[in-house]
This record gives sequence, C-alpha cells and structure tokens, in this order.
Amino acid sequence: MASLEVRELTRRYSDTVTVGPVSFVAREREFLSLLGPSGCGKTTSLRCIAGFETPTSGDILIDGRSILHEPPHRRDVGLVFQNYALFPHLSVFENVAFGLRLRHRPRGEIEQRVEDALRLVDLSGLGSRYPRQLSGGQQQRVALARCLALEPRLLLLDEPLSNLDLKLRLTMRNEIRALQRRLGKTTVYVTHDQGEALALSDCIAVMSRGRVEQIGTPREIYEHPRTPFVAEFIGASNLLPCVVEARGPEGARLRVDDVTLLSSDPGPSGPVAGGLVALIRPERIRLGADESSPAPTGNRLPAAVVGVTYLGEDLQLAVAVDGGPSLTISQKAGGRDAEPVIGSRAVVIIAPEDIRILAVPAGVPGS
Amino acid sequence: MTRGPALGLIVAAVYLFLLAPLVIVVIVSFDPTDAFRIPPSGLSLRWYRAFFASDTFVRAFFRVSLVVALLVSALATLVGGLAAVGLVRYAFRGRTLVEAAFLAPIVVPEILLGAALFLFWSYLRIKWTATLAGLALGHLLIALPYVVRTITAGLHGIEPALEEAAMSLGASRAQAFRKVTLPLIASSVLSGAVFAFIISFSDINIALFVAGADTVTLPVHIFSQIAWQADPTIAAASTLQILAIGVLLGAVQRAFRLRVAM
Amino acid sequence: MTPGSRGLLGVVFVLPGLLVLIVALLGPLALIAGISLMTYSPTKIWLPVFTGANYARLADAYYLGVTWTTVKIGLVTTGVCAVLGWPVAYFLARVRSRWLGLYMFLLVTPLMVSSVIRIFGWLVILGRQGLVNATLRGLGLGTVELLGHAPAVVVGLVELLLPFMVLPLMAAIERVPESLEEAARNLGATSWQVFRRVLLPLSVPGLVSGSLLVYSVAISALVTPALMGGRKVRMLGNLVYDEVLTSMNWPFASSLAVVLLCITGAVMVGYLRTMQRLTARGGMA
Repeated sequence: MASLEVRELTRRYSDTVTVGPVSFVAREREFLSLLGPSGCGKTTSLRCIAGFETPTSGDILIDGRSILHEPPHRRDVGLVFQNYALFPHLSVFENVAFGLRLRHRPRGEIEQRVEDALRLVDLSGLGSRYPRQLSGGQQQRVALARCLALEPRLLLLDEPLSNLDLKLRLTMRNEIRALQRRLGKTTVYVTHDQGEALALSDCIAVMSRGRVEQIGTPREIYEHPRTPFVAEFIGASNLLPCVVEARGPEGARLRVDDVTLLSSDPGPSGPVAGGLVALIRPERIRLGADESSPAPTGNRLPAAVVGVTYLGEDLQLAVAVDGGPSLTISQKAGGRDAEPVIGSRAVVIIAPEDIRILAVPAGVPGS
Repeated sequence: MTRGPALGLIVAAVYLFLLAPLVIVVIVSFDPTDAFRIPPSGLSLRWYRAFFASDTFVRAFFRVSLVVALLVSALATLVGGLAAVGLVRYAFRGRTLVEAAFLAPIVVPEILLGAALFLFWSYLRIKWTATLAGLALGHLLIALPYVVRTITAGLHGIEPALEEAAMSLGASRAQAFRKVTLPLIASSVLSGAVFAFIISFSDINIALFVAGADTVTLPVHIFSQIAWQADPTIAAASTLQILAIGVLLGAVQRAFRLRVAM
Repeated sequence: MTPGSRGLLGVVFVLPGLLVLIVALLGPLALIAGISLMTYSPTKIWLPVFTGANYARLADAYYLGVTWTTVKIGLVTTGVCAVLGWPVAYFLARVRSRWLGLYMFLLVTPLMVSSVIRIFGWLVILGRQGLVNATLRGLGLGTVELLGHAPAVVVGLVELLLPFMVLPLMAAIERVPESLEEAARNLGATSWQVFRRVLLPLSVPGLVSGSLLVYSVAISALVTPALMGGRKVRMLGNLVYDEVLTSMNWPFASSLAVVLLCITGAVMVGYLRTMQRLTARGGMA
C-alpha cells in the first residue's frame, strides 16, 4: 500500500477564492478523513489528488514521487464519487469489469476479479442487474467494488454516504471501515459529518475556508482542539470569551464575565490579536444540588437552571451562572441524580483539566 | 477531459463550415465588382443601391415577404396561443389527439405541403394560389406547430396555484389570466411570434408552389435570379434578410435567453 | 385543470387552429391521395377514373433510380452530419463559458435564414466563377467542376441540416453526468475510450433523434439539388416540382408525393417518439 503526501497544495479560482495552501499526510494503510463544512476545500483537494483539477502550486506525492504531471487515467488511485457515477448502460458486472477491460486482462482473470470484488462488498450474484434496478446502498457498493477490482494503491472517497438515509449510513459506515481494515488500503475520505469522521478515521484533517485547521487522531481533535472552529465543529461546546488574569506553568486563572475560573491549561503565550475563548465540553460539566454536595476541588459556581430539554438518551440543560455566562450542560437522562427543575438553584462544578483556552484567529467574528 | 485544443479546433472548423456561405454572401455584397473575389476588391454599397432600385426586389421584400410574415406572425400567435391555452388549461376528450394533431405539419415535408395546397386550390378553383392570403395560410400551417409548442411549454411552467391565488383574492377567471398568466408567458408568446415571423419570412418550399406572378416572395425571387444569372444584387438582398433575421433572433435570445425548442 | 363542462371551452379555443389544419393540411393531403389514383389527361389534367397506373409508373427504372439517389444522398448526409455534429454537440453540452449564448446564436441563425441564401453562398464558393476556382486558376491549376453532382448536393444539405443534428444530440449529452466521464478516466480510460465506451452509447437517443430529423428533411430536399446538383442529380423533390408545375401531370405528381410522404412520415413519427422519450424520462439510473 502506498503513502500519500500533499504538500502546500494551492488551487486558485479567482482573486478572492483560493483553496490552500493545504498540507497533510496519509501514511500506509491509514484512513485519513478530510472533514469540514461545504466550501472548505476538501473536495477540491481530493479532486487534485485524482487529477481532475490542477493545483496552482504545491505538490502531491505518492510513495515519495510526485504525480502532478500524470493524467488522471494513469494515476492508479480509485475514486468513489458522491453520486456513484455508475454507467447506466452497463450491467453491474460490466461496471466493475470496466477498468479491467481497458487493461485488456484475459477473460478468466476479469471474471475472477469481478467476482472477488463483488464478494468483498457483499453483492455476489447481482452481476447481471443494472444500476437502475439497485437501491442506493447497493449502488454505492458497486461503485466501491468497481474501484477495488483494480487494486489501486490509494482509495479516495468523496462523501460516499451523504445520499443515503441515516440507518443505512451507519451500516455502510461500519462496512467501509471493516473493509478498509481488512484490505489495508490507504484511504482518503471526504465528509462534512463529524460523527462519520470520528468513527472511521485513524487521522482527521479538519478544514475550513480552504485551510487545514488541525490534523490529529479523533481523540486529539476532540479533546485538544486548537482553534475555536475545530472545537465547535466537532462535538458540542461552550465557547466563552475570557481574559487571562494570571498564568503559570500549572495553569491559568481566567475571568469570564464576573466569574473567576481556574484552568490547568496555561493557554497560548504572547499577545493574541483576536482574543481568547475558554472551551468547556457540555458533558464535562457537573451539576451539584447545592454548596454542600461532594466534589473535587475546582471551580464551583452558583447558578440557576434555566432550561431542560429531554433528548431521550440525554438531557440538555441550560444554566445561567450568577454573574457569569450561560452554559449548556449535557447529562445522561434517567441517572441516579434527580432531574433538575427549571428555576431551581444549583452549583456548576468544572474541573480545571476540562477547561481549554483557545486563541481566536484575527479577523474572525467572536463566537 | 475529452476536452482540449483538438476538440476546440474541430468545433471551430465545423462552425466555419456552417457559417461560410453566409459570411461569403455578406462579404460579396459589399464588393463593387461582380467578380466574387476574396478579399473583395473594394467596399461599396453599389449592390444595395441596385437592390433598392430594383422594383422586383423591393416589392418582393417589402410588399410580399414582410407583409405576409407580419400577418402570419400575428395570426399564428393568436390561433396558436388560443390553442395552447385550450390544450393546457382545459381537459376534454381527445385532447392528446388534438395535441398530436398540431404537430402534424412537422411530419410532412414542406414541399409536399406546398404542392398539396397548390393542387387543393386549383381543384377547388379558388383563386388563392396567387394571393397573399394563400401564402399566409400556407405559412400559418408550418408556423403553427412551433407557436403552439412554445406557448404550451410556457404555460406548463406556470403553476395553476397562481391563478387560483388571484381568484381567491377576487379576480375573475379572465382577469386572473390577464393579470397573472399572460405576463408570465409573455416571453413564450413573444418568442413564438418571432419564430412565426422568421419561418414565414425565410420560407422557400411552400412559396415555390403557392406564389404567383404578383406574389413573389423574396426567397422565391432570389431562387429565380440564381437560376437565371448570378447577380450580386442577390447578395445584397440576402444580406438584408440575414440582418433582419439575425437581429430578431438576437433580440429574442438576449431578452429572454431562450433556446430553440425542436 | 378544469374538467367536465368547462372542458368544452377548451374545445372552442382549439377550434380555430384545428380549422387551419383541416383546411390547409387534411383537405389538401386527402385530395392528393385521391388524385394519385386518378387518370392523367393532357387536356383536363385529371379524369375521375380510378387507376393504379401512377403508382405502377414509379416502378420504372428511371424513377427507381431517382428514389435510390434520394435515399443514398439522405443516408450520406445523415452520416456526415452525425460525424461532424457530435463534437459540436459535446462541446456545447459541456462548455461553461459565458460565450455559450453566442455559440448557440451562431448555430441557430443559419437555420432560420432561407436555404436559397445559403445555397447562393455555396454557388459563390464552389461555382465555376467562384472562389475556389478563382484560387485554383490563380495557381495555374485550371478549373474544377465542383457543382452539378451528388457530393455538391451533400455538402449543401449537410451545411443546411447540421444544426438539426446538433440540437437533439446536445440535449442527450447534457443528460450524461460529467462524473461518468471522470469515473471512466479514473478507471484508466483515455479520451477516445471514454468516448467510445461511455459517451457514445449514452448519446445514442440523441443520435437517433437527430438522424431521423436530418434524414427526413434531406430526402425531401428540392432547392438544394435544383441549384447545386443540376441536371445530373435529381431527387424526389425535384420530380414532384416538375410534375406539378411543369408537366402538370398531377396524378403522377400525387403518387410521388404519397410515396415521399409515407417514407418521411414514418421517419418523422419515429423522431417525435424518440424526442419525447429523451425529454420525458430521466434516461439515467
């Protein structure tokens, strides 16, 4: 299997619209996701790798060798399209055999490889059907099989699940992951669904407005987001504008509105143009009944419960801290603690390790 | 993609082929000599003056072709528009058959339509073969399918809910049609009218059979002149027709960004 | 939609149009069908005596020859239009430049200009005193007879009918998602292979439509063979014209017309059907 490196890739559309410079690496056998909202440049990057767009500058290397000069039909990277792009005038078998026929493989080999590919995606026996006779999920699998039959060194998937309904999406998601692990194919996966990215990837590159905001494992991205955008895009978050009053190697003391918090994250040093925000994940905030409830040392803030939303598995609470910010708290519903009542008083408990301090990039409107 | 300089060259060459005769005609019309040279030996309006000086050409252009085309345009829009409304807004037995019937003239080659009309009127001893009315009827026949189709398409694009909304606000059916539907299909009606004009103005196949000595259309006159002698006045006349049609088409395309419905 | 008694109003609306059809189309065509079975008379043009002689005469070697010439020219014209028209249709279907309006304008305008004018242009280019020969004479290569035979007629007809091929083809190609081309390339296909294995098969409905339209107009051509083919190239259209206006043998002319109508009618109905299918159903999976 191959390794992919995208180096300072830039694609300029006009004076105002540019994607890049973008850099990321997908190591051998790795599943890398490009995650971001529409227009962030993830599909452009993918199409550059496939050869359907030409970068204005930068380089793309597979196994250390640049592929920029190679035309798309010689790159040996499999691309699964968002709308599957199955050939309607060809049967499933012929669709999957398409690439093999172009390479003039002997008939026996073609039959064997097509059968293997169809078996891989669990579609054995459907070879004589036509795309219009298949469901969305089945079509998607044919698209996958069509690429895999050629055993490409790299697999690219462009939001392959976005046209499927929720249940199917979850099933296919697991299948894709299992398949990728089994075949060990280096894969680049483009999606705007953060749940998908978290579940599937070895490594995620979060993109926004043509740039990569952060690359890391799912855990790193979730627990140590480096920018407010990443924090907001992945998982829910409370992002509170704050001012650092004192800073030391152990952490920082910060002020949010009229409330003081202690964080074990010292935050970025040096002046920050756009200001600072404190990130606190809703599920990390605990709610105590009153001053006397047992809790580790940390931030204890008197507050009032302002809203309760029942979500089945979870309870979402809106809480107003006295003299401080409004917070969203996420709890498991049906827990041992009694369900909070709107208007009741409570104590918000936040451990210092659960507070991160992030810099707001200059020119970005505050969260 | 399959795109590239090769495709561009081929397409340019085909376009050149397509436009060559027209371009040549226009160029030749400005050449003061009748030698048909490229590049022309000079620039002159000699043949245009000849055109306007020629009774037969002027008559053919202004008193026959233009008149008939305007007549046909008006009639086709009226008759075709009515038919389109009837087909789209009302349900009656045999509607699909009638809709298909309006496409029938397209199925028949124009020369046969012309010949048939000629024979029909001769048989009935109707002196229409040499009149403007006869020409107009023939042109109306071939223009009708396009007008009906264009206006029908325009009507289909309007949801009936709009007229219903107008009526719920107090408009009668006729008022709703006039104030809501008509303005919305204005572009279809106009393009239908323009196409009808152009079809009549440039027709040769029907006119060859139905035109008489007094009702020679411009294309028929050009035809006879070509067969007779290749006089560059023909080029001037032709350029004028190209100009008229080009301007009309350009205006329609500009104003309504339309495509020809085949 | 107003069903029921209000539907009658619809009948009133379509009546004028139907009247035109009956008076100008049905009546005359019925008459032609009838006259084709009547006997020819030099003095009274036709006599109300039934005969099949007019049709029998069509089996004559000369008329069969003309029919064969017509069919041949029709087929060649259609073939050339398909070959030349496909690249243009593909270009127009895929191009995303703001000049598309101009390209369409340039494609459609020649269609709307009278065919005599375009043929006049060809005469200027190909005639004995025309541009090509003038250049050849200037180079000392003498004169070449470019008009007066079948290829000239084909050239004239192709130039005339090319847009009729391009428009339906363009509609068909537009319905092929570009992602299919990209998928084929990604799987290793060269441009030619993408064309042959994906684009061409999927553009067949457009090819069929365009071919039917071009063919049916080509075989009923009159002005083009008359002016560019001369005495040597006679098509069915020329025959009809001569028999109606020159020989005044209307029964025979009618039988010619009926035959031509049957051929063209069948072809055109086929064209309308395929166009309907092209624009109605999705076409793609």
